[in-house]
Amino acid sequence: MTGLPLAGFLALSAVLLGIGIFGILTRRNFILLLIAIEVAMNSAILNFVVFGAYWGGVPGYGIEGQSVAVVLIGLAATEVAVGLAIVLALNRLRGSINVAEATVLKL
Amino acid sequence: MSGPLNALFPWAFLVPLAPAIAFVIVGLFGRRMRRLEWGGWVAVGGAFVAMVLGVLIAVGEMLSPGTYTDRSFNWFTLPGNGTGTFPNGFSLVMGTLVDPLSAIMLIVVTVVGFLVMLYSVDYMHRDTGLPRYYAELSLFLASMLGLVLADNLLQFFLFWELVGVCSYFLIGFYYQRPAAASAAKEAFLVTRVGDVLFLGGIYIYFQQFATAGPGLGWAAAGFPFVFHGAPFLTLLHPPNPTLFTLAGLLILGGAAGKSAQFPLDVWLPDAMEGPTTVSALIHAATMVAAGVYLLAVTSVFIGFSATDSFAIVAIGGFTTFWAASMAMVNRDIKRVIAYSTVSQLGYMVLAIGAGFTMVGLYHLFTHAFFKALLFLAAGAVIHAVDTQDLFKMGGLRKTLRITSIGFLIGGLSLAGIPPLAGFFSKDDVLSSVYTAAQTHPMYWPFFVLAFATVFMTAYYIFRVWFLTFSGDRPRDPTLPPAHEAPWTMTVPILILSGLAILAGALVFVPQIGGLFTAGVGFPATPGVPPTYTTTDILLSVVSVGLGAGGILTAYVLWGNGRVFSLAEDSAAQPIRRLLLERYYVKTAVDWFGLRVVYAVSRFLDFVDEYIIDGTVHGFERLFSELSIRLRRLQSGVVLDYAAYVVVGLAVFLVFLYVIVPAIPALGGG
Amino acid sequence: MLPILSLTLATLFVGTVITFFSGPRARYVAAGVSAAFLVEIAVMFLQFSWPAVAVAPTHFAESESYPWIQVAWLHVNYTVGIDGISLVLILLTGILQAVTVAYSWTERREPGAWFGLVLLTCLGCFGVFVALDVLLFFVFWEVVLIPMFFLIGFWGGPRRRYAALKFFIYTHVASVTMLVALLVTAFYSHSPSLDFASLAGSASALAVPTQIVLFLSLFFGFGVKFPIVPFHTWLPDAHVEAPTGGSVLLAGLLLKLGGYGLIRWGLEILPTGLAHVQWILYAVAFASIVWGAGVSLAQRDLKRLVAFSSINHMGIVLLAIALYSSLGLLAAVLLMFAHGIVSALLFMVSGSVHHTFGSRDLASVGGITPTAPALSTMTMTGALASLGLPALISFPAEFTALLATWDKLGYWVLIPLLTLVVTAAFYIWMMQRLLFGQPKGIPAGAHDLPYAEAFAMGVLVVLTVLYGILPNLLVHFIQLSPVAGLP
Repeated sequence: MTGLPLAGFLALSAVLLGIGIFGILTRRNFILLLIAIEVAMNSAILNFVVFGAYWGGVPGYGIEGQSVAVVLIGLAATEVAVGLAIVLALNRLRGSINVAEATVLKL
Repeated sequence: MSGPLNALFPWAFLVPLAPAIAFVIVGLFGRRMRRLEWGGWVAVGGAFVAMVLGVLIAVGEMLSPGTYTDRSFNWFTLPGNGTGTFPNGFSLVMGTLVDPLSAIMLIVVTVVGFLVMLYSVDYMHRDTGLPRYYAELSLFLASMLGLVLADNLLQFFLFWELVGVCSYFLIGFYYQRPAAASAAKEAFLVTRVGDVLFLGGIYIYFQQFATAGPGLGWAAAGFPFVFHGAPFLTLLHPPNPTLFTLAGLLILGGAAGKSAQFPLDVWLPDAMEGPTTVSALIHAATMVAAGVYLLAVTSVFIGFSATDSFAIVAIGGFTTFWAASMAMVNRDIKRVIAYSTVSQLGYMVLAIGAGFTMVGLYHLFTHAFFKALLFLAAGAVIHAVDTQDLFKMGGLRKTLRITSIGFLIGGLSLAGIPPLAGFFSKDDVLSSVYTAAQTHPMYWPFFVLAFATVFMTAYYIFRVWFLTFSGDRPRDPTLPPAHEAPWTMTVPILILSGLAILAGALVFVPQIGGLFTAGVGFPATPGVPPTYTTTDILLSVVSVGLGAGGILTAYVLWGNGRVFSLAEDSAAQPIRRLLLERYYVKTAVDWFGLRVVYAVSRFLDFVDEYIIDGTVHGFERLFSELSIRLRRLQSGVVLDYAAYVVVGLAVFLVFLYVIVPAIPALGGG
Repeated sequence: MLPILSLTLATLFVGTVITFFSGPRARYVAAGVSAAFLVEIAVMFLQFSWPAVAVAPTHFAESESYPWIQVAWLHVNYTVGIDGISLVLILLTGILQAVTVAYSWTERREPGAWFGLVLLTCLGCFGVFVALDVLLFFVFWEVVLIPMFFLIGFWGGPRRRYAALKFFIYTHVASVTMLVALLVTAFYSHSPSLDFASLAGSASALAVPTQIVLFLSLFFGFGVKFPIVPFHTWLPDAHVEAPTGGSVLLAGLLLKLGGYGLIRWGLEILPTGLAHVQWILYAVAFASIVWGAGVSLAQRDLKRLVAFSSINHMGIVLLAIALYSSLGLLAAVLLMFAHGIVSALLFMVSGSVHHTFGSRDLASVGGITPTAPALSTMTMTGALASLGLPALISFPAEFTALLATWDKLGYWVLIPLLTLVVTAAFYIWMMQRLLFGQPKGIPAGAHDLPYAEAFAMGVLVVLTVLYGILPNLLVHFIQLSPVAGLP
């Protein structure tokens, strides 16, 4: 890995995580919440890719970072699919997608 | 050394095997046989085979005395690994050992066993549960013979426990009677105390001999070091003398349990709840003698400790007197004979403690016959009149002629009247104690007790005889008319009568006497007294005089249908009550069991349920209270949870990067 | 050579699955599986005694090892293998599985699930005895827990939920402690894999205090299964509520897992840890011995009495293990086998008493011998064997255990020795109350043992006598183990 310093990527990742967590803690709208989760998750994925690239070429290490990142992207997509399904169900049942109102764990 | 019968010795294991096979047959198929007595005849057959073989082997031993062993069954093998206490490992081997001691016991056990078995066929015919009786009696005989032929202490212990459990079952034969069930329990538990002590003694010997001789080839020889041990005497010097004394005391404890010596004597009188045949075979002639036999075979080791010898003398001498005193007042025909057994076993123990092992065995030998005779005769009486209460009987000599003569011979023998068997052996016991007391002044009190007991013995046994047989009619007129027993019962009584007359004099046959003089390699055993010095003859005269005095006293008080009763205000009443109540020992034992052991156990149970498990339930309460409080945090709002996650993460990070590096023990600092 | 261990695992697994789904015919499947299991055990014994394949006492026989989870720093393998100790305990598993199936032959409530869970328990125990990898071991360890939870919780007595939950929480807390300790041992000592052999090789490099702490955690983890005083109160409750088959497996097998685990995963891996805290083990063992016997004497419920006597016997096992000598371990394994057989017999007796006479209360049922002579005979054999009568199975084991104790600890042997009198007392008293005396509390129409139960108990009685007379049949095999080299 040449050019850009590692710290820059990590800082970006940290910022993304901060934004994500801030969003998670403050948004009441389910869709916004999902977006915030996605942002936080992307910061983790970014970290995996960055470290995978960083160790690339060092003997004894493969492309574990990148492969985990691919798995995580898949996971994120699944999560959004499930999340949106919940949103639809919630909306149909209560007519609102405010998470603060859904206090009973079963619908 | 080899005689014509020595070829039989390797087959000695067949002696216990014959009744064992009878046990299996009767135990498995006894209930299916068309007539239940057939099981009895199978058992008689097993006992007969054992008797023929056993007596032949004993005769072989008489003709060529020596120690013959056959160790072929490897019971338990530990291969050594070159380190530890047992670098070469060890084998616990089972085998047979024929020597003078086991030959004597073989005769006693097989002959009395066969006769009792034969007697049982008619005596027990009214009982239900016959197959059980014959199976258990056969198993007993097999175990007892295994014990007699045991070639090492562990094997001895194994069969020792088996005879104990057979005794337990047979005492409880009439198990629906609460008294019988309770007596069986008592017998098992009291002897168990002795057994546990015995086991402790075995451990000491085992370890001492293992550490004393690392190169002795344990794998080959195993346990027999501790047994019949002449060849191994040289080993005795290196081991720890304190431990050896302790081991001797422990072995004595085991013997006291089995042979009902003070203070473990409480069970034997109660054991009379079993059938009379069982009392004759197990609780008079054979099993209770096993304790004496144990002391005899280990006397080689025990005898070296003055403490142990004194303990044995003290226990034996005291028990002799103690039991005889209780026999003098009892009303139950079987219990009187049972106390007498305890007392006579005390004589044997006394002789062994005094250093005259073979004298003890000699008395064991004669006692087995005359005591079995007394029990079988008593059994015939009970069979005829259906009660055990002496004060209801009377005048039975007219109807039970053979029985009364048999009982008379047994009684005379027990009282030590010459020339019956008991005279010779009891005389030898007394003179051996006298001899030992010359060098050990501490023995004198027990010598006096033993001498006093001669009078008491003659008195109590003739009290029984007069109450039962003399007079003209039973005191209780409701007793059924008595009939003499059938041949299967009278023949054993007659044979045993013959033995009770002759067994003592048999030692003057050189071959038989050889068994008793061959000794066990115990240097202090000079063989059988008497040496017929003036002192010996004087002692004999005095003891016979005491015996005759006892008989005379009994006649004056109880003869010809008289009943002697002590005045209510007599000074002797408290003593009589004390004796009838068995010195309150039984009461104390029951009190201890119920009020101490059981109470402690109830207390432990309480602690278990309310304190230990209570603590557990306390934790349960604590957590459920906590969870009720903490549940409020679970608002159900997802955002709150997210906040907890973040806070938790923050705390964790602070811990990991701030606190941990600050603590040296965790690798920081 | 035949991969006999994997084959057996496969047999049991497939058999269990089929049993679950075969409904009313489950008992035949279960019987078939048990028979196959016994045949496979016979093959293992043959391979052990065959000179050409006989094992050197320092290695595991029948070893198989395949990678399972391989990551840069974590090597988990599927490693199995047996030595003499596991072999004998596997034999116990096979026997108890067969007799449990036989005893509950007429089970009518959900037979498919019942027999399936019984087989699953035995599968788990077999797995524990063969696993030589921490994670594999733990998986099987937990597999045992679940079917037992359901056996108690579904087929049990009136307080079954309470008992099942108590059992589950106790053993689960213990097993988590055990897992953590084992993993910490592996990671702290930089063991190249989670295999037993590599763990045993590397653990000695740990600092002594660490070893002590780890050993104590393992001791707690395995000890609760024993069970040790004061963590024993789950046992009587579980037994009282468990159905008979569940009790048999619980006492016969599950308690042995603790002993086996302590030997294999405690003693052999962290001997230094043991050496420093041996006195704690002795103290706990003595407490269990005395406590178990003392509390048994006060019990009125037959099953509770037998349960507390198990605490006493397992205390002797713990004592023998703690001695850390070859003689002691031999005795411990022998005693575990003996206790497995005898306690199974006694729990079957209590079960039969309960459903023949409607109660196990010794104060209200008594004098059963005329009504049920066969049951009475079984009771006597069980009780006499358990109190250590020679010529029955427990005697050689107890004799050796106390001999080893005397050899190592001297006069302390008096504690277990004198307790033998108490053991005799409560069994003999139990027999007096239950079997002898005038009949009482006998319902009309009570009859002797049904064939299935008589068969199951008869097998155990025969084994009790057989191994009592010929203990060498077991002793020979127990010797073929790495621990036979101890002083």
